[in-house]
Amino acid sequence: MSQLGMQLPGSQARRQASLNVYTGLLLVAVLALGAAVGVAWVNGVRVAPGGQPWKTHPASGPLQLK
Amino acid sequence: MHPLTKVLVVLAALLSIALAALTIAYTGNAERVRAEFQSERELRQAAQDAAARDMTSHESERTRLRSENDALQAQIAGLTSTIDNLQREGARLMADLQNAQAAGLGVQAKIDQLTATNQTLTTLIAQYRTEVTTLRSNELRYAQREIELSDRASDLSGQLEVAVENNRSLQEQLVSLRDQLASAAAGAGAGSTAAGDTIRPSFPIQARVTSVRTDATGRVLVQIDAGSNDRLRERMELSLVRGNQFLGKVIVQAVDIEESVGRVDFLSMPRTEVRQGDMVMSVIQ
Repeated sequence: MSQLGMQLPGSQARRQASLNVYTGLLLVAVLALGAAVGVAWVNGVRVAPGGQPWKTHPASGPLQLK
Repeated sequence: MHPLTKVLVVLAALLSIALAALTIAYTGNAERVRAEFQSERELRQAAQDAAARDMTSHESERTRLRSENDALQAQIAGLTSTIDNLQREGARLMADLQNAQAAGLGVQAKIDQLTATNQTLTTLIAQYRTEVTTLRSNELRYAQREIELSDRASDLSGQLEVAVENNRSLQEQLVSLRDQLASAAAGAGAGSTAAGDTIRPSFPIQARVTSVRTDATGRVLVQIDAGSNDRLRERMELSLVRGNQFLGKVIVQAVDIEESVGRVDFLSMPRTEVRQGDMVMSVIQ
């Protein structure tokens, strides 16, 4: 029943989740990923065609840098 | 699990996906840019090599052009010098031309002056010709008159010479007669020289003693500078004088063309030394 979220009387009271060290590590990882995405974005804008970092240059033809 | 942790997990997943995509795109683009960069660098190297070759050729060309420029500059300098010389020569020739023109004007003026002088001289010559013609006619007339007077004077001179000769002849005859008279008075029967043996010239003779000598018998002989060309003959009797002094007589003994030899007869006068330069003449003047 506990899997259904029901709190039956007389049952052991469920404990509330708390912040732990993994939460802190995830926060640090998120921050690092955000910084990496920013740097990759800035530099990708410089080498991507038309200033769009998601795009890639065609195999042939002239480069179209911003 | 705490909700915040869940949210962070979701964010981390999303950021990982985005980073992966950006990294892939960036890597591809970077490779493409690198290849392009390499290609451009090769092109640049080729361009630099070509530029270096061109620079080398241009340097040699520039050197050649510089040498040509130097040669042309030297040629220009030479031509400038030549032009200066030609200009100076032209100026000098121009000055000479002006001088020549001035000299020509001077010569023209002299020619005009000489022409005027020539005309004046022509007029003077014409006048002189007229005057000379008149003078010649007068001179001819005077010459004819002089000839007539000369003929008249010759006639009178001839008459005078005849009279003088007669006078001389008479004087010599007088001297001879005086000598004969003196000899007769002295009793000398025969003289050293007979009067009939000598000839008295009938023409005037005047000669000079050129040498004096004495023969073996002690007679004085004189050589005179007159001979047969002067009509002298042997046995002619001449008078020997020195200035106005009568020294004696000379009897011609030998006659040559231009000279003669005669014996000196001092008559009864004291014997005087005969010198070279004494005069011998036909009569006593």
